[in-house]
Amino acid sequence: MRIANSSRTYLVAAMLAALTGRALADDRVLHLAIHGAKPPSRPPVLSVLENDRVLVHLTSDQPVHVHLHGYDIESDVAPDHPTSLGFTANATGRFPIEIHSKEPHKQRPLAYIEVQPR
Amino acid sequence: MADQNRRHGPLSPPSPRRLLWRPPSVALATISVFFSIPAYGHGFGLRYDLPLPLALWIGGAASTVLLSFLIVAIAVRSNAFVAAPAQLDLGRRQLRNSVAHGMAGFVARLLAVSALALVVVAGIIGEQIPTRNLAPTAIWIAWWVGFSYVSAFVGNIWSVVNPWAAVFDWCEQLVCNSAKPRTAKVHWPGWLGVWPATGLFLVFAWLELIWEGRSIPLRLAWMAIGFSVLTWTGMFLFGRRIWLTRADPFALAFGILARFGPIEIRDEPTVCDACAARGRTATDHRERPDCDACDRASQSQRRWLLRPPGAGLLHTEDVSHSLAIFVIVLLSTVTFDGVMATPFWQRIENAMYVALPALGDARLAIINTLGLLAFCGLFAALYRVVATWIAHYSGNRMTADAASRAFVLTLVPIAIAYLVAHYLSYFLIQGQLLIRLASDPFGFGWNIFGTARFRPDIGIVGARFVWYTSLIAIVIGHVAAVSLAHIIALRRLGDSRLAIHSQIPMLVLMVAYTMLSLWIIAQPIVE
Repeated sequence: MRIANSSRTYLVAAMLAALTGRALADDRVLHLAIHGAKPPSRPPVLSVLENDRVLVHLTSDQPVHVHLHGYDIESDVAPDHPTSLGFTANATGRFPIEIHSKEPHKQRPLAYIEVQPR
Repeated sequence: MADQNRRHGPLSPPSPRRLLWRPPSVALATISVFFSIPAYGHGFGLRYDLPLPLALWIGGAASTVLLSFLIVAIAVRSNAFVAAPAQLDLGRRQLRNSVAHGMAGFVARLLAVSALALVVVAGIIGEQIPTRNLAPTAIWIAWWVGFSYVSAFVGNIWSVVNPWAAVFDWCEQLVCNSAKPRTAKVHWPGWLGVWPATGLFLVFAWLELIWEGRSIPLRLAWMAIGFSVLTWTGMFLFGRRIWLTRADPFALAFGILARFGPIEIRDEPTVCDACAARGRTATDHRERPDCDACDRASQSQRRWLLRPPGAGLLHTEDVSHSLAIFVIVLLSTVTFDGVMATPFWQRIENAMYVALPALGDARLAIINTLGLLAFCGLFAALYRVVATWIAHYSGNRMTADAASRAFVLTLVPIAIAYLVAHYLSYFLIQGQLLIRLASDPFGFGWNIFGTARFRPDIGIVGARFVWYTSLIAIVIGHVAAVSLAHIIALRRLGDSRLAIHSQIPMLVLMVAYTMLSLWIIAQPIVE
């Protein structure tokens, strides 16, 4: 009885620690799943505050090359190779994430990161 | 995970580690793949502006309306507005007679001609990646946006340094002798007005906003060469002054913006020795400026005058019907650039794209071209309605045509304010590329001034700075526009009650134009 109780307490404490740990890291996270190397019809907007730490997790069912404009971070994404773009949002503005391909046509962005002033 | 992110491109130079391990040709080849798509908005480069927050938008809109009424209320009570604005001569004699002045002018023109030549050479022989070649940044950011700002906030410096005019002058001075100056080969018909400049400006706006090749250095170089040939042929056939004042879209556009500027650069009409011997007077030259030598003589009598900002827009005597249309086209193309980047236009574009499959691959270009023309047409039609309305309210002391010519320039301050709101952060962020390009104009990996690795700071101005600058600029532009229109109305109509009545339509148009400018900067930018 006593043992079961303490293990439950331990579990709750561990969960709390995990939760607060996430909160303390203060990451703003966006998950993007790319289908068919095409942008969504309505690109999502992640709104963060200046100096927030931003993480964009990317998965794709086809190999693509993505580019976050302004901050200029690029990465390859492939089915067996998910990736993350991580950066500190030290400049305000509205920055598109785009798929870069060789075909010269107008690409809609995958998403926007809006960095609002504090 | 983070180490898998390769960072490079215009705003981040390759890491030192990568430079050590990769031959530059490989690095450049990788970059060229990523930059081969024209993912650029108007002209060149992306804007990262945050939309103006709702509270600021409402504040701007409310103060616009309130200030308009305040100006009207003040105008009802006093006629003080009519007095001719003061001007300060910045010393004609000292400047004209000094060798330094001639030298300064020559050096400035030589620099402009060299810059033009450098841009063309860069476009032809340089690396074809837009951000690694001087041509796109120099043309769209330094020259087009830069000279718009210089014109509006300093004066018509373009008329002093215009490299095409400079080259033409030098050639002419070499070839012709002063005893028998060359006169225009072909007479410019009066009915032609400034229509050629209007047409060429529309072509330029299309190239800037819609053309796929606008960020490709080689195509830009060919455009510059084409424009040079056209300009010199035109100057040769019709005479330098006629071409610059009736057909050159940039001389006209910068000239109109520069009427707002605090420095007036005024050429005093003068005749050359040969024409003077034939009994030609300065007035003759002003009426029919077909002798290039007289034109140069007038330029040597140039005066630099300081005036209150905006005062130049009160001189409406020379505004012809076609010039009024040119001004409307200038304002509407600048505004359409903003409209094109809004979600609203994106929806129209998408709907038309789906509805018109028959047009094929050129669909987007066709839709946007139609949009550009429709927007200019709509603006011109609205302005015509307002002019007719003014004519009616003025008790028919003014015809609609006279009203449209008299008031068109009063819209310029709102356009300048919009230029500040729309392009300031773009100019400050993308303009930094010039620091890097100065060291490596052709993208050959040079480092002439040691700045080839310069990384532009995208946080150079914060969103708050941009918001407040934009808002203040737009409100001040609106106040300037309403005030100028009142001064013109009082001067033209004399009677202050009549002037105020006649101004109601103009006020409505200005509030609408200002609201449109505010609305555009309150929209998220969609590229």
